[in-house]
Amino acid sequence: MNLYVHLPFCDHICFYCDFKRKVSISKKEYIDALYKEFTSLNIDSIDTLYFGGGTPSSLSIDELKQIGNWFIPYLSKDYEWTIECNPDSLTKDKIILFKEMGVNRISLGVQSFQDELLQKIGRHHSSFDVYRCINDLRECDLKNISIDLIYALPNQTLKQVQNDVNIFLSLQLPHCSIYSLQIEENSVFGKQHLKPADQDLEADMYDCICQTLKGYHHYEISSFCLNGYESKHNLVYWSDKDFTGIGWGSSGKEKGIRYDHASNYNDYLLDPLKRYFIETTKEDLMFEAIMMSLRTTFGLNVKQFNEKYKIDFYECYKKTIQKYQNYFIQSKDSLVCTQEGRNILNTILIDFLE
Amino acid sequence: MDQSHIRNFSIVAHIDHGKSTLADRILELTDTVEKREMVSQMLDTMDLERERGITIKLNAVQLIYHAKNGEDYLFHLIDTPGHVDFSYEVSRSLAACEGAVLVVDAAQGVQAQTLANVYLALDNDLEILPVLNKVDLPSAQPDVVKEEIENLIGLDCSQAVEISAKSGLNVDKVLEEIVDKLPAPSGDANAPLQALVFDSFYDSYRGIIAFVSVKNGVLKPKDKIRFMATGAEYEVIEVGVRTPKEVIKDQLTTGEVGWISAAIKNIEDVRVGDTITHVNTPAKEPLKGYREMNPMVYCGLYPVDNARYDDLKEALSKLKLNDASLQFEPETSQALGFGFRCGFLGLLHMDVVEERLEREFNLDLIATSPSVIYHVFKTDGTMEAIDNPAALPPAQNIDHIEEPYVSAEIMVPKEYVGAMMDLCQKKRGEYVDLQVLDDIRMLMKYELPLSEIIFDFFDKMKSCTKGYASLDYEISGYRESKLVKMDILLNGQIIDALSTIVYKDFAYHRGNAMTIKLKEIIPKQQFEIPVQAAIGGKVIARTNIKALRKNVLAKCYGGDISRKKKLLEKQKEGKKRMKMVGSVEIPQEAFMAVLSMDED
Repeated sequence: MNLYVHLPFCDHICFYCDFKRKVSISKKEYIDALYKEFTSLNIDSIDTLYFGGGTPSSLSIDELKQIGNWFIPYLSKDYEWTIECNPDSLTKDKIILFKEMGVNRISLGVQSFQDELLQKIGRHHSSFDVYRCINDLRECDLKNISIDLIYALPNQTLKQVQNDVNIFLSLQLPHCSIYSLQIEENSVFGKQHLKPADQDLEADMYDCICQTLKGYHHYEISSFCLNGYESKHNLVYWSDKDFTGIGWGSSGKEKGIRYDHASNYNDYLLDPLKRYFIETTKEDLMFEAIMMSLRTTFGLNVKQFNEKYKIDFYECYKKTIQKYQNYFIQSKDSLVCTQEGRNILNTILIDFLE
Repeated sequence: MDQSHIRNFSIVAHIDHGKSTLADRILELTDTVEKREMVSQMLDTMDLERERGITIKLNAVQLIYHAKNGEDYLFHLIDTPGHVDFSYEVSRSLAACEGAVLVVDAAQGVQAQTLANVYLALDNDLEILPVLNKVDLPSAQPDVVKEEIENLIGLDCSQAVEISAKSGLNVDKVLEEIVDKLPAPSGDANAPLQALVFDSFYDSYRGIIAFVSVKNGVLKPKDKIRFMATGAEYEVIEVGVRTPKEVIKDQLTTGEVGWISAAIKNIEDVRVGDTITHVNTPAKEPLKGYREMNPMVYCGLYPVDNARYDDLKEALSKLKLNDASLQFEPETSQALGFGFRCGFLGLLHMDVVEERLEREFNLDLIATSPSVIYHVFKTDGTMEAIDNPAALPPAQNIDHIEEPYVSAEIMVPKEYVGAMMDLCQKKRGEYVDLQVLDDIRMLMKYELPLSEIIFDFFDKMKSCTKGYASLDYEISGYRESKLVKMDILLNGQIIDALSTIVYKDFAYHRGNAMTIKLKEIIPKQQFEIPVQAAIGGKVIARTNIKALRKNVLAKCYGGDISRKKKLLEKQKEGKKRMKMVGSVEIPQEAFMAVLSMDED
């Protein structure tokens, strides 16, 4: 089983974020509800476990211990357990706890190494906090560290982006996720009607990132890693496999059927077991599989696709594949986008939406 | 009801002076519509009208008024459109009345449309009842405005009612004035039938319904009738009135205003301004005032999806029914396929038709930039009237080109006269006259090319006078001009639907502005697209739309699937509304780019 656990608590709200999250609410009520939902699951064993948020590291040691303990008995032999952390709340004590519990992957919300920029996007940590965290994590033998970076931030220059990526390189970390800023309607930036960065500059930044990280495996549009350090949990999303989500606002997919949880916080507390199933046709599911899998260098597994949807993929999408043939690497078993193809994936996907 | 107890009237006003609000209050006061049923501005039935706050289509409502003298009066309130584009329709609906209530904003005073409408009413021999609205505003100056009306229009305002249509203040007095001051219809019920058609609309069950004002005689079901201008003959099926709900009547007699249905299928048969008479005992002459309307502005309308050509044709035919002045005929464009060249009274009229086609008939349309009719004198001595720039003959065959000019009257507060004169000069205007109207305002008269008016004159006028100026114009004739055809090339290919005819001295400037605007509007595609403006094969401006480099969602995990898919679906919808010309996808608004570009 691949399990996502949503912990929607934050110490403050970052300007770009529109995830389900709350500042200063009673965590006990939520943890009780989450436990109810956890106990309703029919768990055989857990292959990948992901604590996302929110800011899971903003919970107290006791709370983290309480929640973590639910899952420990079910971890499989080769499990991956990731916890999202913020540099300002990831204390040494928490790191020690994570190591004890068996957490083996840390995703650190760095966003940028420029303190001035961090302030402008509503982050409360400094680059110093990041170095401290990485040091502490390594001391506790938690070496599988991924950091998140954001580019195309307001007034950010190409040089600043290059600088951030270079610092990442110098830290010799195994994984990095780099996102261009998306101005979500329900974020602070969205409410401020922030103007997105110039398209050409953004493309230049992306080129620069890819170029600088040449030594890393660029296995997904925004993900770079050293060999063997791909995020197993995220690959589940990108390869059309089932996953379970628990917690307020989380999503899951079981036996090909997708579901959400209540989008209202109190509704979730009242009935944490309630799942809102999303009506999807076979065509929807086929499109979703394509949309997700073309993001990675592994591409779409044609054989798996044909068997699952009882269809001939190449025949079914002949026209679109023909139209963008220069952007694909085709083989009998898989369809993979070239780097150029992945750059304009939206344009290509629109044609798959027939 | 006795003919002497009928009052047929319109309310005329400048935009925003409160015409529709007064109509609403009258409907309430006569219990025609109960307050709780009242949707604000009852007479503006189309969504579009209510949204834009302007009245486009006329409407006629019958109401009964219990006057203070104890007697009942039958009122027909005929609403008129409030925009310069629709002056013929205004004039016909006024012709259906004996009187008009002139509403003037007590703060703003007489405006261009107030004058234009008053002149139309006077042309139709109407008795005019001046009313000052919005007297409850702090800035209201009823006495100053009264004097202004007396000076400018020559109406006696000593007894003008001061009202607030919004609060209902003194609206009852207006009703009494209508009874006392406006004349009853004067026709003869025993004379041969003459009924003025002043509006019509299409009903899918009953065919075309015509709104008429019976000037003489009586109109009943089973009557055999003839439309005197078109010669079409029908048997009347039903007659009735609107209250504003539709009510079927036994007959419409002299002085009454209502609707008739006669299973009329042919749209061309019913024209606003025509006279209906009986086939057997016809009137000797039709009523005065019928005119074939001549459009002044033309543009091409094309369905985005070529397969919907027939739907567009049907929709245009239906619209033409209650929009006598809309003209259309088929045309073909290399870029856009099959469509129609449509003629409109003005820019607003064009806008309204386009929006109604999209909304009421669910069509996705591409409109090309508007054009006037040019008179092209060729070297062989013949003249060709051209309403589509793409159809202009080759330069070597042209001796000279004439374009329509308008006499424009612009009313403007003194402090903006300088700015307005600059604008008129820039738009190739020729100064005619400047009059002082009162302490505040002046009336400027200019001869201007119509093509400049439809280009962006209104917008520019608004911005350089903070919206205080008003413009009225009429065609004054044709003049020779130095005009050239400017082509637009995308990816090296001329897009015929983007060609425009421009004044030679403006060509470089406009070519430049046009290419820059197109660069903004056309989304990046997988290859670089040169955008060029050219005159007779010579490129005068050029820019490039850079190739698309990056178009991808940065983040996409399990919880993002629904959202991201929706985003892509939305983008796909947007793409559907684009036109593939050669290898370039062009959004609809690109074809109107010339109107929205900034030349400064």
